[in-house]
Amino acid sequence: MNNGLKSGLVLLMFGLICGLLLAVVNGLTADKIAAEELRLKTQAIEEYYSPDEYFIDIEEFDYGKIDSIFIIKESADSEEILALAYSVSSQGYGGLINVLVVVKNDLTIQDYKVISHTESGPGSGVTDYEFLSKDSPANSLDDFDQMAGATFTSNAMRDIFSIIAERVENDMGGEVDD
Amino acid sequence: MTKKENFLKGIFSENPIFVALLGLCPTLAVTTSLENAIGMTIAVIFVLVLSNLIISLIMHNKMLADLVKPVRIPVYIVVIATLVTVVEMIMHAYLIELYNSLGIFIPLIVVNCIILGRAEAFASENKPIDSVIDGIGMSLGFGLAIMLISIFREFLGAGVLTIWKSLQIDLRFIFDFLMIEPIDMFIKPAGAFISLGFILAIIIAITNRSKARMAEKEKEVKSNG
Repeated sequence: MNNGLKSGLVLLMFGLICGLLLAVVNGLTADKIAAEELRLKTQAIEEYYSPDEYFIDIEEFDYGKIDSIFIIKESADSEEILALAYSVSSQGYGGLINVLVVVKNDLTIQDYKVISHTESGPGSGVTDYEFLSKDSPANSLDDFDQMAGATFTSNAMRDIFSIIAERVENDMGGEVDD
Repeated sequence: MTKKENFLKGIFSENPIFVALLGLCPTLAVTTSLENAIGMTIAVIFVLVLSNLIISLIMHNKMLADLVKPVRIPVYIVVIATLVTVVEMIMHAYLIELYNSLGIFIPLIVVNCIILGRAEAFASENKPIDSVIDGIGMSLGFGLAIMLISIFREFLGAGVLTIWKSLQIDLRFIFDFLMIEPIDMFIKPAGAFISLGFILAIIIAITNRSKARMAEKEKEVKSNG
């Protein structure tokens, strides 16, 4: 058999075995990973809204950059939304940056937390950098502060806040599922 | 080489960080806290031991070795990348805070030259059991080195040592006693280079001194004999 073909088949065989192993491990860990990511998000929300005192509903999305919106109300039958927590992802320098942004019903940002990222270099400080200060308006990016030396990371964060800015007013008005 | 010598060489005489100066990228990047260094060590132990074992098993099977030899480097990379992805998924599922803290440096273990270096230089030419011992020794040597650097950096930079999550040793009283603040720079990238430089200088000074003593003793023995 041709040597090049033989080498190609050897590599293909190794690729298939390794792919199979990864599929098995992914099958075993996928649910746990989803549960852990949800735990991190709810933990971040609980810093402000304890589930013992407030009613927290989750609206999940299968498309776009928003993967879920947490709707926080006084009680299950209450009409008024107290706050919305957006879980949004955008492409940074090293991969997706997932951020949870909590917006109060007066349309100001209560807080935000970077849930996951794979940024390196100056962008690795994404978790500590204050791109938008607390209580700044959620429907405007005028106060957005760019991170020096990390253009891709800053652009991803800007994208995340602009997605929220575009829809937050409608969402607070009760159109979260649109 | 005995099994004990094989194990100890990775920690002392052939330490991948302090002697061979390999794998410096994660060494400088993740040593901001002791917790990060411990997490990275666990990941490297898993990958290095298993990659050494698998590669040694492949290369000690005559039929497989003949097939793999012309494309051995891509095969090693496939094996190592698979193991790293497994570690990444397990860490993401069970140690998510550590996973987020280590960030890009977990997938970058794939291109860590210590792993590929041991596969090519040792595992492919030695028995599986010796390769496993070499993997344990080398990864422990790597781990001890990055833990030492992280202790140095976190203590000087933050005044604490984070062992695991909220388990911290607060050493700020030393700074209070000296009436100074922790030096934040040691947590920053520049501090990583300075710390590594200091530690390397100390290790080289100690090694040179012990070599000089040995040489003197040998001289004395020769002159007496």
